[in-house]
Amino acid sequence: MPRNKKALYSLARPKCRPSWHKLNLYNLDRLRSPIKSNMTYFQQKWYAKKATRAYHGDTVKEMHWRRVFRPDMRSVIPMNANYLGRFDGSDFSAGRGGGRTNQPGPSALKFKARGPKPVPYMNMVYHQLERRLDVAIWRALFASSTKQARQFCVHGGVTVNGRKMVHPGYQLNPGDMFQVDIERVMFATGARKNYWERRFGRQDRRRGYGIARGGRPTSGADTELEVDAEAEEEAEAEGEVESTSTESSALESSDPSAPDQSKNRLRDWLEAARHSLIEPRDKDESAAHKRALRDFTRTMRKELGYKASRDAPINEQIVLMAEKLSLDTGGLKDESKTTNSEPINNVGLTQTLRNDQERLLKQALQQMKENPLDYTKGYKTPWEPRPYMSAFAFIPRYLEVHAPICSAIYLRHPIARPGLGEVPTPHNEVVNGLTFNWYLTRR
Amino acid sequence: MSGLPGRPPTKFRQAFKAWEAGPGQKYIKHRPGRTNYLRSGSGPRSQDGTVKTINQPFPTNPFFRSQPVLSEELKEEVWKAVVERGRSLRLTSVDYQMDIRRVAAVVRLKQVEKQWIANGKRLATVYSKAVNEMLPQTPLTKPATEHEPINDLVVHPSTLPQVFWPVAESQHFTRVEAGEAFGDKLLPAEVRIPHPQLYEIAKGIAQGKFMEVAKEEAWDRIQKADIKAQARLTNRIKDQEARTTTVQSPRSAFKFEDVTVDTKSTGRYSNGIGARYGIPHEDRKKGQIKIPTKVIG
Repeated sequence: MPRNKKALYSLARPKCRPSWHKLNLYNLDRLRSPIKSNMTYFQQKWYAKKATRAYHGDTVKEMHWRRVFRPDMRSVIPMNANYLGRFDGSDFSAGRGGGRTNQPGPSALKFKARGPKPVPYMNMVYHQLERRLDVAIWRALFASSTKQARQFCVHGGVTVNGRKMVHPGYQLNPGDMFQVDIERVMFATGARKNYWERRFGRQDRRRGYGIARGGRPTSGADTELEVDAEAEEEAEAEGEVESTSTESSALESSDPSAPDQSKNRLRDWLEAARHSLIEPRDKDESAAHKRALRDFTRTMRKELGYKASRDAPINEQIVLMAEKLSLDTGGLKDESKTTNSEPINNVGLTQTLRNDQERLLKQALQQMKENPLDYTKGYKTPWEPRPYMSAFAFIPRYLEVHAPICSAIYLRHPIARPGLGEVPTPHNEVVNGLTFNWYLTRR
Repeated sequence: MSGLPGRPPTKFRQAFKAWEAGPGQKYIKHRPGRTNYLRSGSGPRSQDGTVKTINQPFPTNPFFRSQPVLSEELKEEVWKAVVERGRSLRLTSVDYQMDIRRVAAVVRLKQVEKQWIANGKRLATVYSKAVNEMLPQTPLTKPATEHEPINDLVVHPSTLPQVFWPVAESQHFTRVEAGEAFGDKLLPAEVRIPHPQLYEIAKGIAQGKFMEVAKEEAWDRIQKADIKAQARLTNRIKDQEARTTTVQSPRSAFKFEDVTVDTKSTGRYSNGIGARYGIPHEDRKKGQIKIPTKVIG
């Protein structure tokens, strides 16, 4: 593994690395066989080994890997119990030993005619490395690279069978359960915070807020509640509201009955409300609306992000405010209109939402409770998967992963079966075979 | 990575930027319920014209596929079958067409999850939902969808080299004899598969038994064998406990066991009592690997 970080995802000399980096995805997309026809056999083996080792155990020293390498590979053949019960196997050895041609049933002949799928033994070269704890953590989608998984171990965030395991090179045994600290997994797999979120995080941490510490104070003097006091003052002086046309059109076009979209709508809306208080815009808006907007943001945050009990009923105030800000009509565009034309004087008159609207709001609130806004976290909140993660997301069968508790069990060693090698490797059988030959003998 | 200030980006960098803005766009965000692997939409067209999605994460390795994982509903159902309805692991494995070890693992993981919920510990629900949206899934259906082949025969190392075994053309050469030809203790496939009772059922039916009768006989036999094996295990543990005296201290437990020194041989084999007597440990030497080889929970 190169010491130089730039060389890790080099574009000039591309290699596939054990990582979810976007440059790595690009390099994987244009991955070509390192073998050229004019190479000597030694060169072929050398370049094959070089290419495969960049992906398999790039944190493992070559001397250590050579010691770990084992040329024997495990494989299985799926058996059909019905066939075994009906035939005793003599159909395969009948005649001259290769099966008789006029044999009935799913016999040797049919098997031969279709041809068995080959068992890709060569793709199993690195099966021993899949036993490593750091590799298994990465395979279970708990870290974005083996390097990060290694860090989680070393920093004490990983347990094996309930005991802390600080060795990333621990060889998992079949039946071992490993568990990674949830916060670390959320950080590793979540999107990054932007400038403003980092800034709010610093401020919140300084003031001792955050869910873990009992949340931001929700009652009392208004001054304590401000996210960004000076920014808010500034905003008040300027007088603005955010109603981006693109956002509102996107919101309007979406079907509000879908829970995901309603969540997005609510989140966007909350985001917009927050931005309107922070980013100066030159738009006129009534003071009443601004106050309503700010109150709503605050209550929303209080209700969604910083409350411990999960089954708390919806705050009536929220329903009221949602109505006031015409959440039901489904757009930011209408917001200013509604508040301008019919200001807050009709608040007390219509206090009931339609059933479906209430359900929608409840659903959205529930989702927001599961995925709250908390700037003190190291990752973007509400949590969302990091970019390009899906292109790397697969879980091999030798692991049984349970994502809600960020735990997994190493069921068995990886195996090869007809048509499938369980060791995930970006390289084809030829390159892996050459690698195998490189490590098989003394040269 | 980027060019020096005042210099244009390198051609590699430009190509990457073009990829990022073009074909790379669709990999940024996942599409719930669908996999999003490199070039996954460019599979062969089926007869009705739709492009078949191949769950192949690495375009250059056709021998590796992203196989479905168990859906949360299916896991919950497996847990209910084993813990609430008391169905055996073996039966559950057949019911839901998944490896016995996987059934056991699901039960264990689910148990931990329930414990967390009971303790009021926060689950990674959002993360879990996102991951499940990205991966292919085995859904909970009735009858159960096959998750994986359950009767995998492990390839025995002694069957790997080819054996030349002359047999008379008239001989009825079966799997049992083939096993003997490979090595004197190699059992035939029907005994070595994880679910031999399924073989017995099929055999009973082939011999003309009614399906119910064959099933009952096979399950009876396997259940008896399982009970026997379990009894053997518990007996071994009980014996061990009977032989040891445990003295509990505040910090740890001291265990004493009576042993008989092997007087016939020298006793200096690796398992012998006092085999290491007088030999210093090297664990403080440089370069000694001290990573534990197993963790007992």
